[in-house]
Amino acid sequence: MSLESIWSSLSVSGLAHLLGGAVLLLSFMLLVRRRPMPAINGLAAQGGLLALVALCHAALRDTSQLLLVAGLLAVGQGLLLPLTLREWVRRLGLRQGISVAAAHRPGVGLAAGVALVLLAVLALLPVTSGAAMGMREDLVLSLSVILLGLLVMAARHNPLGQAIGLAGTVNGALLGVLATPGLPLLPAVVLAAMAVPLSTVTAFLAMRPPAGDAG
Amino acid sequence: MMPWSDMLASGALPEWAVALLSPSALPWLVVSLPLLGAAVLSALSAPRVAAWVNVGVAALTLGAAAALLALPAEATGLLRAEALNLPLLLLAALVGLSGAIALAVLPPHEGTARAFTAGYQLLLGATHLAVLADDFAVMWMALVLAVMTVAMLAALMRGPAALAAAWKTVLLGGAGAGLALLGTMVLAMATQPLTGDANALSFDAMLRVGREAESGLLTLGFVLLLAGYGVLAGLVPLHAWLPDAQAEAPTPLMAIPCALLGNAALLAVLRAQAVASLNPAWLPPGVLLLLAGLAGIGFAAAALWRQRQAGRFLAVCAIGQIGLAAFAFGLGGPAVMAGLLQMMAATLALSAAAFAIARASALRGGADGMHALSGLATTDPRLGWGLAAALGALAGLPPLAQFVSEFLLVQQAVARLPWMALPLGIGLVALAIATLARLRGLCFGPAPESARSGVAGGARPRTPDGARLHPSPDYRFRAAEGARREPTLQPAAGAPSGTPEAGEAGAPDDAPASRPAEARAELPSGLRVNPPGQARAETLADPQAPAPDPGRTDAPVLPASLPDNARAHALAAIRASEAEDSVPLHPAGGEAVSILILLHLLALLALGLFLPGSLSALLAEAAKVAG
Repeated sequence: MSLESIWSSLSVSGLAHLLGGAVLLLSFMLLVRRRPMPAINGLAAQGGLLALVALCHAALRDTSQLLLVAGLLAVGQGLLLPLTLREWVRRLGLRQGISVAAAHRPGVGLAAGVALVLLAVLALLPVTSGAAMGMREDLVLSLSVILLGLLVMAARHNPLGQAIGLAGTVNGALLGVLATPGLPLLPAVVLAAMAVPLSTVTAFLAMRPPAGDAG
Repeated sequence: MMPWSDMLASGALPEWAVALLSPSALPWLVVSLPLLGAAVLSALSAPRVAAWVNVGVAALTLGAAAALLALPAEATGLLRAEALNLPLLLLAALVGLSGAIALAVLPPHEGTARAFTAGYQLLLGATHLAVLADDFAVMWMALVLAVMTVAMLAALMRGPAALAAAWKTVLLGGAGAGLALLGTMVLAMATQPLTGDANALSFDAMLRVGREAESGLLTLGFVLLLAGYGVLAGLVPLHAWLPDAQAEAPTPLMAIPCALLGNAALLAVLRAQAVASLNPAWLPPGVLLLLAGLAGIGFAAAALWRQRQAGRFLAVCAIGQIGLAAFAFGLGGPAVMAGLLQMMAATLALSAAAFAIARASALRGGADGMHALSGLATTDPRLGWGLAAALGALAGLPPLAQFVSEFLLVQQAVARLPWMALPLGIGLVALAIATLARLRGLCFGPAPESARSGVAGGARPRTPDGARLHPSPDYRFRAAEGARREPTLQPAAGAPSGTPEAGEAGAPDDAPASRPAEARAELPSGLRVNPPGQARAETLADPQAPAPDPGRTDAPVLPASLPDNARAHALAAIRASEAEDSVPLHPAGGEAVSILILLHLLALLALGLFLPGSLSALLAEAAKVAG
């Protein structure tokens, strides 16, 4: 392997980690955004970043499967899910209405989020001491995003906020999926994972009573 | 018996049948039959036909699953029948068939039958896939499909309570699915360098390389999988969705889908434990399962006393049984055999109890409160005694299968972890006492007045002078609202609080026409029948009114000053109005349900008295694989 190719592969893997960090940052944003629309936009950005992470891994590992996955992620998490959530907001007229954040003091939520990320780091690093460094970073990022998603779900009292938290959780799991090398069923797993929040939101839109304050 | 390959090659079967029954295709047949059935059932609108299609598909699936027993053991692929999953698969197919028959004679609540039967087959297909899958990723996808299906089944009544239960299921199940997916990936990261790309997530390959894999990653993967699949299995700190989903479903038979999902999820945990315990790190994987199991047993023993709704009662029973199985899996070794036996026996007994409760609920006009279902043995001896035997099996009474598995479990606990035997023993005794106490009330307690006077499902009650009671028309929106609680009786505003005139009870047949429709039925003593939602609304509107006591919602609230005969009439009127709303009883329902319960009890007896030879060999081999 020439020095040049090592350099290029290092920078691409560094880029993948950078993008993973951006996904984590967006999770913090989901935690503190109070209006539904910015939260949904943050979710869409997270989906787009996931697609970019998949592209980076595709360049690293040189598999066409990951290109397909990147397309799926861009369409599903980056486009379809935010559009469905927007439809939810439009039907309920929430644009100016209820805030999706229960915490009136964003500092508390932020502190809890930081504590969870620290927990993920402190719990994972000694456990995975034998694993490759890149893999450990991916795991820490993925677990942090999942825990932040769970925190968003727990902190919200309205279905829209909880659905956004669920989508955040799934995004974290997807980050872990993308970091795992050599999965034979990768596109199917990604499709099934994306179907969880999407089918939840669609089913809620279809089944909820025509009038009500749920939202 | 002729070897499978010889039978296929003998030429007795046509080409397509040989292709379908080949070792690589047969496991897929077991999975695809219910999924196809679900597709057909969702398109069928005739309820009778759909019910029998449901039964037929379940019977074919059972046949295909039984044929898996004859397959050679060395088959490979994404789906693989082996010692660990075959007993549970056969059991799931068997219970799936009896549940389908029960659905045919005890249809779920009006308007939900089609969706429920389709969802039922979808869930059977998904859980069969999860049980058969050799690949952890396939297992994860199947379990996600299964939990989403359970949420859909819970939402079918469409009332606010049902939607809330379904939402809870989706959120908790989705969070669990996320954690389980990460856990699956961590397991793959641990073993992938050793197994190679093609079968990075194969359980079989992982078992072979587990000893050399990175121990920290294996344990981390197990913890994440336990947290994720523990939600679906109903392990205790994560069980919150299960009682709600079962309580709000359109029929008590919902206990069967939930039990099958729990079995499949616990099997996934057991597999992860088998891989992780090959090279344990800072935490032996069994410890967490032991703790979750003890918590489950303790929770069920404490919560069984408080359940006032039949679906919730069955769910809490299931949580206790899953706790016992988890404890056995945590012990490891031969106790895994006890755990598998426990899961099988619990599913059989729970489904028998669900049949009895569904039938009793239909007989008593759709009531599903424990109070309204009490005294079954006096009003309907066959049903009452069948339910008593099924609940007795859950409590671990001697000749039935649970006694054997619990005996084996205690024996193993004493031999391997003596200091754990004491809490286990206390938990087992407390669980048995709680189950038997509820059994006594449900089967041999006093029956409600309406059931004793034979109102249920039949003609309306009459006052002593022959006048028929007319319950209020607006009472009917119980079904529309989806609230599954018993109505309450409250004194009408302005009614004299003194002793009422019981002789004026009810109105004669021609009277209601002259009354305004919105005037609620005036029952004796100026009481009126309030639908629960309305009662709640009025309580909210009146700041002086005491807060509604959630514990008392399933017992009609009657003032103590009411004379006995007036009380009887009031209750009878409510029950009769419920009977009008509910689905008509199937003519052969009683016999069919009795036969189903009897067959389940015989299976439990057979498992308890003598384990069939091939099954005990399978269980012993499974204990060797997973212990």
